[in-house]
Amino acid sequence: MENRLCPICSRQNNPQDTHCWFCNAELPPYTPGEDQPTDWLEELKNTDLNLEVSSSPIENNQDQNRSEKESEEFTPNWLQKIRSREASDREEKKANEERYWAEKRSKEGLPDWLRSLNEDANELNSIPEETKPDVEPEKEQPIESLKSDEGGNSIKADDWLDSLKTWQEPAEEKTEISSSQTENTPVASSPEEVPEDSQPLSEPGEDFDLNKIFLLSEEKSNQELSSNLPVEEEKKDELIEDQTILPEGFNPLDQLFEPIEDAAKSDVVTTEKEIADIESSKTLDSSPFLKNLDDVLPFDEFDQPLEQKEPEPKVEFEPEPNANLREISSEPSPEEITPLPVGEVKPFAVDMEKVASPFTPEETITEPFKLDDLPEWLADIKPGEKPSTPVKPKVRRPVVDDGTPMPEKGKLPVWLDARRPVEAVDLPIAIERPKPGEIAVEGEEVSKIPSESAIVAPAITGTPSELGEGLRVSNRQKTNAALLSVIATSVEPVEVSAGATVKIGNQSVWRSLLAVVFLLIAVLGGTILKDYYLQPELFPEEVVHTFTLVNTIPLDKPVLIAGDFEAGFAGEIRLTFQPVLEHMMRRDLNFALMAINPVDSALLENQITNGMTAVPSFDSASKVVDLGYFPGGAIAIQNMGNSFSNAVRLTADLVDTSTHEITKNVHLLSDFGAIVVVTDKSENARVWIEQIQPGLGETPLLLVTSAQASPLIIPYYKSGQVDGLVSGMPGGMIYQKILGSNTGGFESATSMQLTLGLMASLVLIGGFVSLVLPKTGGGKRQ
Amino acid sequence: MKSPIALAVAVISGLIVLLGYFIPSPMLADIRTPMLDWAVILSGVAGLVAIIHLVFGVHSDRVKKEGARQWFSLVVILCFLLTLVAGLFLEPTSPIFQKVVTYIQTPIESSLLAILAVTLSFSSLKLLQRQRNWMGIVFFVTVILFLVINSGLLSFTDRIPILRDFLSGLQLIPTAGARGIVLGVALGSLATGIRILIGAERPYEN
Repeated sequence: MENRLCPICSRQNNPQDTHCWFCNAELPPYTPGEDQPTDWLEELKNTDLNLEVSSSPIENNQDQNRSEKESEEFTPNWLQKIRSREASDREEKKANEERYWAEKRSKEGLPDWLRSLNEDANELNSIPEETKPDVEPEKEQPIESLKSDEGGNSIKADDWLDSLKTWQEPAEEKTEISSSQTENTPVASSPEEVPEDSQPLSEPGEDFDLNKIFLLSEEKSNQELSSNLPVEEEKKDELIEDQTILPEGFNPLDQLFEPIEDAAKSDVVTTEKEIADIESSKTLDSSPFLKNLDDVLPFDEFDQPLEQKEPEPKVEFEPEPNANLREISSEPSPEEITPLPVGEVKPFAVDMEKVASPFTPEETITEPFKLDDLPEWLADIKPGEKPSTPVKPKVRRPVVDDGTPMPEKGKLPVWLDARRPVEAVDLPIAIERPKPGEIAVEGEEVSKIPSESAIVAPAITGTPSELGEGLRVSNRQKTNAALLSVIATSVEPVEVSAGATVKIGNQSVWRSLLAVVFLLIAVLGGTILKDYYLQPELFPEEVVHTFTLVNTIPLDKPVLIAGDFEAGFAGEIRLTFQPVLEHMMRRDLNFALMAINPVDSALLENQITNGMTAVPSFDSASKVVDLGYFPGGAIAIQNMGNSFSNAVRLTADLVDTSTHEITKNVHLLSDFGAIVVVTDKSENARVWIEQIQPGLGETPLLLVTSAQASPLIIPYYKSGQVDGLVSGMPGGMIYQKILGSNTGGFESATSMQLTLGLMASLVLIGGFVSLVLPKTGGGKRQ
Repeated sequence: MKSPIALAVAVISGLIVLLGYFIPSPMLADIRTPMLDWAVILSGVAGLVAIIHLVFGVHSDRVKKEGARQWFSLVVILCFLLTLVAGLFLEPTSPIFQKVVTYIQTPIESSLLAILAVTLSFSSLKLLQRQRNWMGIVFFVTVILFLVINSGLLSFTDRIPILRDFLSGLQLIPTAGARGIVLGVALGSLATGIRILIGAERPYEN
């Protein structure tokens, strides 16, 4: 009976089937003899073997002769005995095989080899346990033993003897396979594709006793190998041969369920010729030009069934991951090889020539067989992948709409929504739900329009972050956020009460009242109470020293008066500086006015004008030169300290300072009789002290400052960097008192003293009231 | 390092000016003086640029925008142009032109300080109501004490030696504090100068 091959899934079906049992594809019309082995790997194996023989028959003959010659030359006696015994066993197994197939044909319902396959599997499961240990080590051993054979010298006698013990088994299988290949038997599909209801494997013959073979081979091999240990290379080759041979007619159980692993382990090598072929095929497979098996092997053509004269399914051959090994193992003995015409394997012959062309026969023979030399890409290739990889029917998991509402999308907090990327928010998200009765297939995309039951995610109203980065929230931040949320929910909306409005109105009234009081006191102090101000009894040292220095200023040297104050302090500065200026005017000194602040030029000019009222004899036109505004701040002052004539070249009237009557002899600041700095800020005074004073020499530096700058200037005076200091209205009053001037100018002193007294009283009263009233907050420490 | 050239110019200029303090070399003076002249010129030009930007940049834009501020900006621009024209025609040393400062600038700034005095006085009423701690109490006592001392109302105490010495001692407290501040400023200036000289701080790159 012949099976029908499915063109879609490449699986075997019963001849009477019109559709594939597996994929339900329509099977082609059945014609007797059409059903050929479609296993591409089987074809590959057969074609490859045939090609190796037929594509180059001369070389093949040479290889045969050479291998025979070598076997005669190098084969030891014990090996010859083993091989002779192997030949006898092979003949015996062949007979068993023929008898087995005869019995099988005679059985009813057995023509389907797939069914027999299943039966064999069941029967093999029932094999006594004592036989299984002999089989299982076999499947584990071949590759390991082959790998160890590469080293050759490192193999211990026990190891290769153990491997030799299993030598009998692959030999039989090899015979079976080789015989089947010579007959071009149909090949079963891969074991993964074997359906469960496939027929069992055929069981071996009745006279087959695996234990006997193992025991016999072990005893004999031990006896003979113990006397022929030394030849390492021969041992290497023999181990390759011995380890994977299976007895004839025996199809191991693990081969049925783990065919891929067994395929690599059930290689059969029996003769030198086969060894030579192994070498040649190995070099072919390990060729660097054979990068991809798909590039060389015509898999597509392998799928096409080959015409065979006598299709006779004898052995189910399992596809193996390492095709070349299986090809070698399935190669028949030299006696059985019948070269096929080249024309029958035309496509493959062309490819193999292309692949094998870079190598010479000598190379393929002399190189030892090394399984490890196989490239990784080739070792990983599973021949069954390319030609026919049956697609497993996807598990259909019906999804029935039973009315249960679909889970809604989780609602994130607003702050988290705001952190989401833009695309996650702007794009409407539609959750499709199949219609009732519709079956959703897992892994397939449903390309239908959303039904009425489609749920559209609600629009997210948060503003997504443009950064799109993840938000990392620490526990502390979470706690703070929780507290803020509690506060935000618990705080009542602030309502501007009428009381608060009244309170704000009261503050404005109080401020206005306070301003009125200040104005009233200032007016009263300047008018009615102007003569009742209190003069200081003691004269500060710095003021007295200033007075002394002004008296010592030489008359031929001008005095530089530098104004560096704001217009807002002009009132205090005027009262402070007026006595000093009057004193210098009385001495008829020459003045050079310089403004560091733009308004100071006018203010100093005004000061001179006011002083002339007290000293009418002073000629300001000839005694005063206005140098104007001197920009640059500290840098300009420092530059002026280096060279006055270079820093100040022109006066405010655009007269050259070097030609002006007052400044023509001044090149440095030290050429002045005195430097008087009028300032309202301690920072400005510090700049003058630090930048000018070191280069002044004997020229005194006098400071006239506001009261607020005094505390910071006093240290410079104490250190000697400042020669004189007059600060604030009290300093001016003292200087005037020392000068003995009676020009007035301190009418507002009463107003100042009264105002300061009022402020001190307000602070005191306010402080005590605040201690009584409850605290309103704002303090960091309680 | 954004601008190595700027860094090199800054460091070299600073070193030259600094060495001029310690080494009385004419060569260093010849180098340092032009550099300071450049700085003065640049500062004057910077002031001019600032004025132009303030008037024709900031306030001109505000005039174009609707709102109450546009009238204030308009007043600023008109006053600037009026003062500029007066200064160009009358010269800065003209007594008429100087009255712009003495009769406008000075009263306005003095009035602002007077408003500040009233505001501070009113705020002092609530001094202990907000800062009812020991620092607040110290501040409270200090304010009262120095207001009274500087007002001259305690001038009669000069005749009483104990009170005179006591008040003189109190007046040394601000001097002591000021000296500490000055020392801190000096150290800070020194550290800043060193940082600029070694390139660790680059205010010119801002």
